Order: sequence, then structure tokens, then C-alpha cells
Amino acid sequence: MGMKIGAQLPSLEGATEWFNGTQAHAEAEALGHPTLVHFWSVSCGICKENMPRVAQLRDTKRDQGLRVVGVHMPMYKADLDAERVRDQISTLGMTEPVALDHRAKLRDAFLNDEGYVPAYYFFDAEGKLRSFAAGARGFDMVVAAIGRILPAQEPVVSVANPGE
Amino acid sequence: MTAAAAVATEKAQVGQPAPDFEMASTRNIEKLNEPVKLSDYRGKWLVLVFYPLDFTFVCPTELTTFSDRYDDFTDIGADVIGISTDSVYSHRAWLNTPRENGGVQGLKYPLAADATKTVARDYGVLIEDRGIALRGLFVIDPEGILRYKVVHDLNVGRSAEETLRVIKALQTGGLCQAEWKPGDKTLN
Repeated sequence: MGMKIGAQLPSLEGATEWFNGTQAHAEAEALGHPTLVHFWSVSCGICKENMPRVAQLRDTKRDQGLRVVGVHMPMYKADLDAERVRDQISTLGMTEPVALDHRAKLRDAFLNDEGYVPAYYFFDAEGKLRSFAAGARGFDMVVAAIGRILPAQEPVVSVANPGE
Repeated sequence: MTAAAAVATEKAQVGQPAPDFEMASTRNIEKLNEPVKLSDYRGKWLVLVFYPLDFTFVCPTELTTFSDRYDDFTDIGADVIGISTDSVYSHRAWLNTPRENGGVQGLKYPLAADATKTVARDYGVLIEDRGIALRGLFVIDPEGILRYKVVHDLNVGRSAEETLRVIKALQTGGLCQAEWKPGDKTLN
């Protein structure tokens, strides 16, 4: 039935491999930060089309606290080729930690029963799911949710000191 | 005939911003002082369920079904408002009437009073000569865009299950789906 709004960010345990970091690194990044977890696949054209926008979001919103974690979900057996995934990570400019979910442990943990890609899960700083969407237009929905929620998640910035 | 009259003034177009509204509601059933506004639902999926009249026969089942499935709506980031051209006082009386007596007691979402009939007219469901709404159902996305609408004859109720299916489909449009899963022998 899918992950419920308000559900807690699951453990990232169970990946077969991590690129651009480790599980511990990804979990430390997500801890206390609003975090976008996105499922993608080397065989998914829409995922690749959306990837520059994911990268832009990752780089422009980092200062506001946003963290991004990728999960590679194989759509076909051929997608299990880790070297091919690694090439695509480089080609697509993915600098965020990416889990290779080649035993479907994360897919199960995120209740992605239908195997949707791209699928976007946005968690707030408390690790609660605030927005879920999948597909081409799904990214727009999640971007809008991030735009609404992120400002409220920023640490309180003190008013600029007029003396400075 | 009545439907044609209703459509003539319709402003609600799928893919366009949903017509704005602010109505008195039963959000606070004691004081009746908390209106519902479209802008309050920014960031959520919103289902508007128009129905003809309080205290009528088909309606309670229909509205209570949406209440019984209300948690399924909130689980996917959606909320529900029931709307008729009755007053909030009528809504309150109906909400205080037990289900076994034809009421909707315990309804989990608010009923809004479209007393001026503006909202029903804007959404194209007002039967002008009777001053009541057709059974229209509208789904508005978190950005305020109308994404789905369906209008039924007064004799046909709407389905919460179908509405949930529609919202889930809207949340997952234009995607790819894995045809294979590691370790799952039941999938190819």
C-alpha cells in the first residue's frame, strides 16, 4: 500500500553496495536533516531525464539543510551490473550517496511494493515522511513540497546584527 | 437538462487552478467559527465531495464511507471536505444525529456550508432551479490545481475506494515499474 505520510525514515540497512559514501555516512547525513530519498534505475529513462533536476536541487538546497540519498533499484536482471550503475552515477552527475539495492531490502523497507521508479520520498528533519510521489510529474510535486517545508526546517537564524 | 444548466457556468477545469473558496464549516462543531478555505489545504491533496442536502437518504452512506476510509486518505497526504448548500446549523444537527437515524454522527472531516451557492456554481455542480448541488467530486493537488472531477446523477453515490485509487494514480503518474525483483520467484 506504500509508505504512509508521517512514517519514519527506515534504516538504510541491506544495500549490496554503496557508492559516494557508506550506509553510515548516508544515515549520518540524513540524521536531523530534511532528506530526499530517490529510487532510480539504470533502465529508467524518466529517472535519467529527471536526474539533472535532482542534482540541482541537491546542490542549491544543501545550504538550507537538504540532504539527498539515491537508491538504485534494478528493474531487470541486467540492471544488477554494478559497473554499469557506477558509470551511470558518474554520467548523471550523482554526487550523493547511492545504495545499490540489489537484494530489494530498501525497496521493501520503503514499501515500494509496486517497484516504482523514479520514486521520491521526502522526510523532514525529524525523519517523518512529508511527501511521496513517483514518475515524471512526481518530481514536481516533491520539489513543491520541499519548497514549502524546507524554509520552516532551517535552524533559527538570528536577525542580522545591525552593528556589523 | 439540469446538468447542462450546471455546466454552463463552470469554472472548474482539470489542469487549471481550482476555483477558490471560503465557507463556514463544522471544523469547530461547538462554535461553528472555523471556515474552510482552499489555501488552508496547500500542501495536501484535497477531495471536495458535493452532495445535495443534509438529512437525505443516499448521502449518509456515501459521506460515512469517506469517513470510514478517512485514515487511508490522510495516509497518502489527502484531506476531505463535504459540501452542500445547507447552513452550518443544519450540518451540525445532522452531525449530531446517529447513523442509525439517518445522521452522520462521528464524521471525521468537516462539512462546509455553501449557503450562497457560489462554490457549487463555480465548480459547475449547482442545479440552479433547485438550489442544490449534484453529486460532484473533485480532487485538488497540493499546489491547488484541479486534477480530477466526476459528477454523478443524484441517485448514484461515489466511491471512496475509487477516489483513493485516483489520488494514488495522480501521485505516481508517468513512471517506470520494475518487472523483476531480486529473490522474488513470482515475478519474472
